[in-house]
Amino acid sequence: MTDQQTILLVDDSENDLVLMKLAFRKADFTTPLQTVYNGEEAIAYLAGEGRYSNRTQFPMPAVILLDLNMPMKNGFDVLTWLRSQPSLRKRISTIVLTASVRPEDVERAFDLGANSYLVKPTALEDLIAMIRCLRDWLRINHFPPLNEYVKR
Amino acid sequence: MPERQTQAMANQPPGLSNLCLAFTEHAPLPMATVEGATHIVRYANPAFCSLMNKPMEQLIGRPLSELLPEKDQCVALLDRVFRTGKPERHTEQEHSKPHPVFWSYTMWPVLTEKRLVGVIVQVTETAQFHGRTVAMNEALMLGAVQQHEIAEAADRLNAKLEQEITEREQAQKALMEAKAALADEAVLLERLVAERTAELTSTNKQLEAFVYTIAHDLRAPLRAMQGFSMMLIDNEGEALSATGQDHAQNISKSARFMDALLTDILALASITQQRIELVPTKLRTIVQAVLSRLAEEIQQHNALIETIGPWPTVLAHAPTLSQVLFNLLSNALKFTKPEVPPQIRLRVEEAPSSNPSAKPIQPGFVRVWVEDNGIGIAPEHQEQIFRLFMRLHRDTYSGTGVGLAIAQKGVERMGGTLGVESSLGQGSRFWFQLRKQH
Repeated sequence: MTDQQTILLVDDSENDLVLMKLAFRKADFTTPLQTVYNGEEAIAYLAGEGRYSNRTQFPMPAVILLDLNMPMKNGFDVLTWLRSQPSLRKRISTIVLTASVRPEDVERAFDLGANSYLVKPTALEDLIAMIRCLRDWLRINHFPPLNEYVKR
Repeated sequence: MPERQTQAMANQPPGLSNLCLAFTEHAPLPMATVEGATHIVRYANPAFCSLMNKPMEQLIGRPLSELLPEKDQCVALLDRVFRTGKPERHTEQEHSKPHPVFWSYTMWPVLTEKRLVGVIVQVTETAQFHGRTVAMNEALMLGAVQQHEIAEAADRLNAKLEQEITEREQAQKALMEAKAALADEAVLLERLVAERTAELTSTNKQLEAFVYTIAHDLRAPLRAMQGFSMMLIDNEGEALSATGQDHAQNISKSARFMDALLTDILALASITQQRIELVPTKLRTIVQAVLSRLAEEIQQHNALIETIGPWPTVLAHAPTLSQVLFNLLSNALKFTKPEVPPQIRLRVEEAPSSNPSAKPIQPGFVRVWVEDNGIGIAPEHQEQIFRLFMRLHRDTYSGTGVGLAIAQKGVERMGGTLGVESSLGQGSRFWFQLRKQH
């Protein structure tokens, strides 16, 4: 992957988004970050609806960092929607990034097709270390091309 | 044979045998035979003649009705007997005499080769045979009375039986009703139990969700506190005084501590509520896994770990057992004497205990020991240390004060017990018992 592939960050917490961006900076991870604040926005972004139809401004992400607890459709709803998309469902990498350590949430996330489950650490330095991992992985991972066709 | 008898035999209507004739001739009761249709007397025994006060010649050939009082009834009776072929009885009061006299007639048919040929009439004047008639009547009456008494007794018995039957039926009905009521109660109780269980399950779930939500939602501000205080130090460090930086560090530290507390509380709640299934678990595997998780800490503390086998298989829940061992070993690594590297020994004891003074090992159980050379625990504190948030040395040693509470709860949920032997300055020997898998 090049550093130009977009990561879509889905989280309803302002604080967490600020800290994430800080951690990305501290980890020397310069990949473009797009942020949306809930599940509905995330689906709209991925479907290219409304303002998100402008793919120059809002490019299709290769990776989604997905929080679970959100209003207006939560992380599980986004995963469910992705599964219904014949072209996107297997090709887009979904990493759940949540504060929840509940086993049933882990199970459900994977059952709905998540590729990874990460728990938000409390300490900032641990978050930075995690983002470094993510950065290294993204650099060595090969990503498939994405078909923009979206099933309504 | 006397002449009278011969004459009688000559006159005898067909069907009368010689023997019968002999009996009839000598019978004390008056007897006569008449021809069916005509009622002509064909034969009369001496008793009959004596009763009529006439000789036989005057009686033979005369219709019976002529000889007897109250003729109409007689005739009707005769006809009936002759017609139906069934014997009949009749009693007639004769009013012609000054004192009441009753005539009793018995008539029965005479058959020759199944052909009705005549009727035998037996007549009794009660007055004349007063004693016998009365006796007969009395006998009859006695019989009747006895029969009546028997009938009454039978009726009483019947009534009693019926009552008993009724009572029994009622008792059975009551029993059936009671059974039905009991069954209904049972159904009701079962439903109540099901409802309560559902309520309890629901409450448990709510509690679980509640505990989880608290921990989860409290973490978000902790992340902010921690992250932003770090950002303060990193980004605005130059603008802050040394004291300012200290404050920022404290904020960060407090946030991290609270996070550790929340983690432990969640762990305790999980161990308390989780559905646990005990399966055969290899102790060796769990011990090795926990030791590898603590590898870095073991190295940092320069600790010496000794494991003494053999390690049996126990009935346990692997994640919980891991947690228990992890907590005990963490403590052993933490509560050390200053400048003294920790020496920790892990071993298993099977029943019977080799140490006679020690508490005996429950049969079917094994005892796992985690022994250290640390600061030890005074006897008066050995019960307190298992309490939630209890930290004996909170100034000197870090920790949330939840670790031993978790370990104890975990062992309990696996059906065992946990305890400690220790004295101040002499290290501690924590032990727990688990059921052995045979």
